[in-house]
Amino acid sequence: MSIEQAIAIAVLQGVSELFPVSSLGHAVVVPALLHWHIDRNDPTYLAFLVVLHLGTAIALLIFYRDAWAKIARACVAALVRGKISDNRDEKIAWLVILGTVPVGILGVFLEKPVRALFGSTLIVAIFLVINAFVMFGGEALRRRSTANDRPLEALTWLDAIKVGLAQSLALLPGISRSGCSIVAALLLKTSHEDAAKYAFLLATPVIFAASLLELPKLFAPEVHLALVNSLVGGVVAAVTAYFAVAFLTKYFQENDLRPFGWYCLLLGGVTAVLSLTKVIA
Amino acid sequence: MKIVALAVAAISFILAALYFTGHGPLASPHKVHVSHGVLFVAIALASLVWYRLQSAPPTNAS
Repeated sequence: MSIEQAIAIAVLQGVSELFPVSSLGHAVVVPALLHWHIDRNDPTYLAFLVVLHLGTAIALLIFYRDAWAKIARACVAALVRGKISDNRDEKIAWLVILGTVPVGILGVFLEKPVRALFGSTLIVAIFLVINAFVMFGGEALRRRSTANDRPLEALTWLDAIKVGLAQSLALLPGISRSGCSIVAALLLKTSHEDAAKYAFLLATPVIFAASLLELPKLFAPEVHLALVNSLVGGVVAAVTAYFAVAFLTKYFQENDLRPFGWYCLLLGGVTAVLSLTKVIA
Repeated sequence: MKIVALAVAAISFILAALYFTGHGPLASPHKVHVSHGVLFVAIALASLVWYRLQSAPPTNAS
């Protein structure tokens, strides 16, 4: 992998991890469309991906540093008191923690077998199309509802589990983590802005945990050969992710998921056709 | 529910130890499953947190 490819993949990771377009799907589809022959099992590539994910997680942590500081204080306060109060920050803190549980459990047991089963370009393209319809369907159902937006702290513990389970659908390559989380929160009557914030807060510990568990890959013998690519890629992914979350936070104040749905439909459709006609592997 | 929380914590710690030592249920024999072990440690800690959050003294209604 050249440094230019490393930078391109890092930008792709930083953007697609947060935009509701499936980073895993793009990691499969884009190299196939560009005829980049990247060995996804090469230890240097795996180490590179770990650093990209760490960069993305750090960017999210920095962007939401105030929120995470409040979450940490709220958790400590609840533990000292022995009870969760009605305080808004405390409620949101525990909603984030609870929402992380389903994907934590399912990810450990299912991630590798699911990727092995569904890793082909054609299947990823089909899931991208499904991702598009998830977003279209979510937006249609939300618009049909006449209820006013619920504030985030009005979600129940069961609602947090439901959003967490929706996030787990992203184990399927081509299904977007943020897209599913946002749709689930929208169906629970939150605003787009709150749904996006909740989705990005939920994503942070998941991405961090996944990176930390894969950290040993950074110490494989051959990894030093790709040190420059990994460091540059990590920084680029972090910067790109920061700007991506800043853009999306502003975007969802007034807009919705449908443009991303059209994008996934187009990308998935084109990739499926090219894959079926053997233009791409 | 406090007893349930403690039981889940104890079972999770045991499962974590089994996975870290290569004896985890439903796993490849004699293979250390670090991620499974870490998961069960996290579940155990979460159960202890759940136990703690049930520990506040009852408030008297005025």
